[in-house]
Amino acid sequence: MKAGGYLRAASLADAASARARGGIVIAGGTDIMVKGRSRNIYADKVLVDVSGIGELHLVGERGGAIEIGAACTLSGLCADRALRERLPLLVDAMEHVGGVQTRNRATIGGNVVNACPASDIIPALMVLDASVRTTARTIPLADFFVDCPHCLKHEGMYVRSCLFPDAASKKTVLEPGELVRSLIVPLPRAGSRHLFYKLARTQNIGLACVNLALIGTLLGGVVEGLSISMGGLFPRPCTLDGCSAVLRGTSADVSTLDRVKAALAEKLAAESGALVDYGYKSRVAPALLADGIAAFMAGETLERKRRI
Amino acid sequence: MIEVSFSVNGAAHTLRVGPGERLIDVLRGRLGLTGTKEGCGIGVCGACTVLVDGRAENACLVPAASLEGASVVTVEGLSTDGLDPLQQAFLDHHAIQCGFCTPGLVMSARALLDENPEPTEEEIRTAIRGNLCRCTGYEQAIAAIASVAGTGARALLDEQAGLIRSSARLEAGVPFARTPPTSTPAPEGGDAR
Repeated sequence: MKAGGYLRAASLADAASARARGGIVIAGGTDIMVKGRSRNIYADKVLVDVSGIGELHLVGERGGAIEIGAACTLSGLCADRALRERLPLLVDAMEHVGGVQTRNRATIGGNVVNACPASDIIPALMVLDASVRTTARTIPLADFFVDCPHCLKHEGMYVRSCLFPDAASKKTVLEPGELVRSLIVPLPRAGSRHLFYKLARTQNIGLACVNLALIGTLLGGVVEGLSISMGGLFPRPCTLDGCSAVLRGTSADVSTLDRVKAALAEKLAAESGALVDYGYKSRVAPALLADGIAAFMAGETLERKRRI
Repeated sequence: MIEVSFSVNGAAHTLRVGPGERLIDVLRGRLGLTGTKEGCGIGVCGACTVLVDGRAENACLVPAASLEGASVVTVEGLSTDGLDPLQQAFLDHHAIQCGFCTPGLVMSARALLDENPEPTEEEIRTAIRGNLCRCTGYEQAIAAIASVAGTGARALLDEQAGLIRSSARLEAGVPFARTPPTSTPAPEGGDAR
């Protein structure tokens, strides 16, 4: 692939100033290298390699939250025993990304900044109420993204990467010269249970068509609180608060699940003109959500439930 | 051009590489190491899997300029002194047909066993999930890897051995006994033709 230059940034300040001059930040490169090759969009851009900046690799716990450096690789995080124990939903989502080779290079910060609607990690971070710490500020993840209707339109997200050379400037609120340092993920409440499910064309390593992340607590068989996010459906990542409100205080019986499905269908209808494969996704997403909630209530995984 | 120093199969190299030049092009085009194959070129098929600092990575997605100080091992690096046990196991288990995916599969397996010498069958499957094979159906490759691995995957091997025994019977023309031979006596004096 062609690029206009390659800078191994020694510090965040170096990287930030290179980005302010129009450089493209590269960490693992698992998306950039694909885009650059298939569409030759970096021929006049400097690639700014941030993977050598030490502070982007730190993981630590502070004030009830875990802070994860943006350049941590997914396999490194998945192998972190403390993280597996403290943030099992996030680890579950990360293990669904690509194959071993991809996870060995891909970084958590890159996944968030790339802002692919089919990201497996973003829905998990959304329901965990994560924040993005940049070189300038801390932004709740829910406010980090901007609508990107283009993503939903091209080839139903079966292509592997987005159309924009610099996804960060098109799909996030990052300013030129602003870099993501870390993600701050609050620890879930004690007794929380979670579920992650990825619906893809095969059980191999493809992108998600639709995915689902849930985390919440039950009290005496009744939903005390439940946060839901689904990828692959909306022009920007969101939590399905309407569905959560329907579920709160119920035991998620069949009639409640019907109302949850209706709430999602209504929210999805707003995307009917924007979402490729709407006919398929508008049918499969509510069913997947209801199945997921039923599995969540039973303390099951959806993989096991669907195999039966 | 960017100067970068790294080792490939133990040999040190200092090269001037283009800013977007991929590791696979350096390996195949500049160093003549054509054992690493390029399949999809977009990080899906795993044919170009090599070890970078001991981890399996797709050489088609690695910018060569990012490799300063890194240690790269390709499939050629496994067989400096005879075949690697994994390579021999792939031969023994006939885990090869066209062979295009084989270097990648072997390197993924090598990375797995270096880190976890006694993987379970599920761990083997996870380790090679990023390697597409259009010929074998994976079972022989999994058996080959399990045969080199420790005890964790033994149960699978026994099962595989059962299958091989069955197919040997078929080739030898030995029919499977479906019904006990005494239960269906021929009709007396009859010619059912």
